[in-house]
Amino acid sequence: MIEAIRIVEMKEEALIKQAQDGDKGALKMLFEENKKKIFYLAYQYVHNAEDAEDILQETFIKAFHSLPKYDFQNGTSFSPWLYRIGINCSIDYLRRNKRARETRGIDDFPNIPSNSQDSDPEYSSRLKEIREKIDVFLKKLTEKQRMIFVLKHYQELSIKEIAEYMNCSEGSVKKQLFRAVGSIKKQFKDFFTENSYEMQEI
Amino acid sequence: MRCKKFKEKIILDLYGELSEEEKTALESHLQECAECARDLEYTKKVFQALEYTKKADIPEANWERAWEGISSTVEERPKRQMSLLLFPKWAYAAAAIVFVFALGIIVGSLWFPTLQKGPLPQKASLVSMDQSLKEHFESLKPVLAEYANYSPAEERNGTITVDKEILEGLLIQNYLLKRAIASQKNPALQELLEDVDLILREVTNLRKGDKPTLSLIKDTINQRDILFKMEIFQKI
Repeated sequence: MIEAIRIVEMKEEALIKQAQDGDKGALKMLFEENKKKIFYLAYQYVHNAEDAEDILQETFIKAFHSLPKYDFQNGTSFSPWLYRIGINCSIDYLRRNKRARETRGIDDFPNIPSNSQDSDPEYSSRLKEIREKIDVFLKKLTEKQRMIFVLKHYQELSIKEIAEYMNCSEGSVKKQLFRAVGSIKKQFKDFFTENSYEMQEI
Repeated sequence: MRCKKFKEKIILDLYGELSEEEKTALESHLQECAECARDLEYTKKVFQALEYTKKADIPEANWERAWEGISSTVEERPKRQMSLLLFPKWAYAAAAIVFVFALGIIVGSLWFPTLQKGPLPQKASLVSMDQSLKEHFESLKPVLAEYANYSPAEERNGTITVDKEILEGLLIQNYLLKRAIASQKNPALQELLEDVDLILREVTNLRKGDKPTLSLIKDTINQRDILFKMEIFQKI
């Protein structure tokens, strides 16, 4: 496996060199290999496919225009470098479009995976309600808190990795994460009180 | 104040970020402190609710449209390279003189072959290209043979498992070789690498249990004699 990873890294280096020379085929391959990772991150951050696609485009455009400056020697491989650009583009996107997004909802709710309870309309409607509530809760976080929460909770990165990507200390990541989870917990308290949902049943 | 720290530790614990020592300290505090024990239960309940957002499938983007948007901005790059023309004209004249001088040296050295020792570098590069192609085919053979021998009757859940990193490595290697041989006049080899490219892309995008695509891959490998052609090429 280690050998395979080494081979992939060597190929990636050759591919990036081609891309730095402006080879469109190589750029397309870099896009193909990384598109899902960036799109998923953006979608989990903004909860809207259209916005996530905009972020995906912005990330790759920024990365490809910065590609001539990309340096193999500093030890960062391409994917984490791109991922960091994706994180920054997502945060910037949300900052720029905050007002417009406040009036826009999340995507319609066709995306629940197959489940034996699928046919139960009550189950689907509860699930939808919880998902919408969580979206509202997340909107109340700052852009940075929200990103740290997404990276920890959905992308399942370690505190150390998040600190590296966000270019801050582990202590600062923990502080923001506690605030984010604390805020969500507080908002859930009212929701649980208003709706006597037993989560285990959902 | 002490409880505030433990409430933070509860969050870290649920994310698996506590050391064994910290975990033990938290557990013994939870046995003594009813408020923190309640907070743990409540936080678990919130995390459970959050799990339902994880369950929602992420939709697919319109990849083609996204790529078109990206690619249209990348095309502008060569225009920027035209800024080289901003150098003074004398710089181009000097470069031309250096170029003609260097060309004279190269032509001169070819004109007097007795001075040439050892194989020409170009030949050396062709030899190493052949070697790279043979090694590439050697790595491809076991992977493609697996798909060529696929039988829907065999119950393997309609799935062949090949390490994703290996597949990506092969795909990139194939792409680079395809580009490298583009200048050689070898349409058969070019076609073989094109076919392999197509097959590897299908294999990379193959979803678990997609038997029709597996059969299509198998037919392509067999009908286009991919393995046989690779074997022949290795023996030349």
